[in-house]
Amino acid sequence: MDNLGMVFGLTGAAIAALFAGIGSAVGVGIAGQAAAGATSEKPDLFGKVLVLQLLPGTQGIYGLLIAFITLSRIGIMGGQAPTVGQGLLYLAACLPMGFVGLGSGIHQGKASVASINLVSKKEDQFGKAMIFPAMVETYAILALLISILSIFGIK
Amino acid sequence: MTVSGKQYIDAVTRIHIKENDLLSKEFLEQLVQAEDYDACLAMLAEKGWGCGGERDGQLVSRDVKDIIKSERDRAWDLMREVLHEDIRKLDIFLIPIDYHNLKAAIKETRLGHEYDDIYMDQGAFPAEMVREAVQKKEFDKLPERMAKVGEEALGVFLRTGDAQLCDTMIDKAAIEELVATADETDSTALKEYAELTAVSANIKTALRAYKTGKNQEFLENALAECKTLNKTALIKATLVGIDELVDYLSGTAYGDGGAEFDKSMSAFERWCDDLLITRMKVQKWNPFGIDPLAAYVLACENERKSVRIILSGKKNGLPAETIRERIRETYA
Repeated sequence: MDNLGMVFGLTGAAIAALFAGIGSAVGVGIAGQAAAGATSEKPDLFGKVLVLQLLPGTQGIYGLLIAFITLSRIGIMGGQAPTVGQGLLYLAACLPMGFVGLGSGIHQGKASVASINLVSKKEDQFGKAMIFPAMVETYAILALLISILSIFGIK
Repeated sequence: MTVSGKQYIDAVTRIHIKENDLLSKEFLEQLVQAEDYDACLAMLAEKGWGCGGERDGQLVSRDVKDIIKSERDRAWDLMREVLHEDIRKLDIFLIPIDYHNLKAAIKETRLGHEYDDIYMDQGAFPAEMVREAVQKKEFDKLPERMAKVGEEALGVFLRTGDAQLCDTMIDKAAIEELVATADETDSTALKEYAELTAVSANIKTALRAYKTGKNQEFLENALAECKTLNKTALIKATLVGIDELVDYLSGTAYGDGGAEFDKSMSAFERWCDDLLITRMKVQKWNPFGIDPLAAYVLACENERKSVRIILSGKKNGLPAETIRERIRETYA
């Protein structure tokens, strides 16, 4: 099969976008439920809880970025069709973002729910409440870094 | 990895916000120190207590019973609003009311008179349904467990006229249903509630049995099984005496309770309520599941008990110290 390298590369891009996107969707979804509950009792909290709800949304964006870079290098949106070996390397390079995006998105969502609860009870703790879900972001960023470095390292 | 089961995230967030409106220990102390009953009512009204939640609103009544009922209705209306059809998951808290109505219906049937004011109208099943089922002996209209004990207790009561035996049978069945219902859930808070209720009921029954000189057979029939107290050891200790009972409890998680029932039954009841609410406090920061909702229901119940004690105390002119020592631990 002539395009097997491209198939592997495309699979990697799909994994990055798909799993990181699912992670963010679940995370933003559960944080949204908490945000809606908080806003129904205290409408003034809308601005604060919206920020907390959006925090788990970044994994989806990182996944999109990795998918986009991959597509632009494997002959779909640019670059040349990779060999089978290169395609497998692209696939491997996309895995960190896909899987870490999934896990961190869901858990960041849970941390956001807890922080929304904290802000709902103690409004003045918004600054601290932001930090807890933001800590989870670290691991999504590390995965993003590794995926980017890997993709750009493929010759 | 995914969020499995019902997490009640929006409901829990709403309830956590509502926790801020629960009466604090400091406020209860201010109530105790208030000049009189009217001053207490005015302070409660400022908080929206007894006014349907509206701050500085109009009190539904000046009567303690009505005020407490309105607060109970308000708490349950809120739970129904946040849980919708899943409110049935909190039916466990209504089991004691249903069984109370069963006892009332059995006594009414035996006496052949109707007494409307002995029923409680906030159970999982309408009081009228329980009354009708017992009066017409149509026990199949009741839930299975309740029907079984209801039929047996009515038979015993009609045959022997022993009201205490009848009450004991129903109380034990209520506790067993409570524990069984909690065991069917995966809720830590509900299991904790059921277990502590069973423990407290068993210790109180054991104490009363000791004081009235009941025998081993009575205790074996009256005490419910629970996980954290050994029924055989409890019976054995009760038959020997109070000191033996205190000694047995000191080897369990309820050692402190022994010192309390040495003071009085109401001190022990307060200790039980405080223990339960203290164990529930961990739910204040739990953002997921039915547990924080169950804890809130119990917190409201403890709050109502405290306010009832204070208002009744003020009405009867009890000294502040006497009132203070009966007030329950707050959840807020």
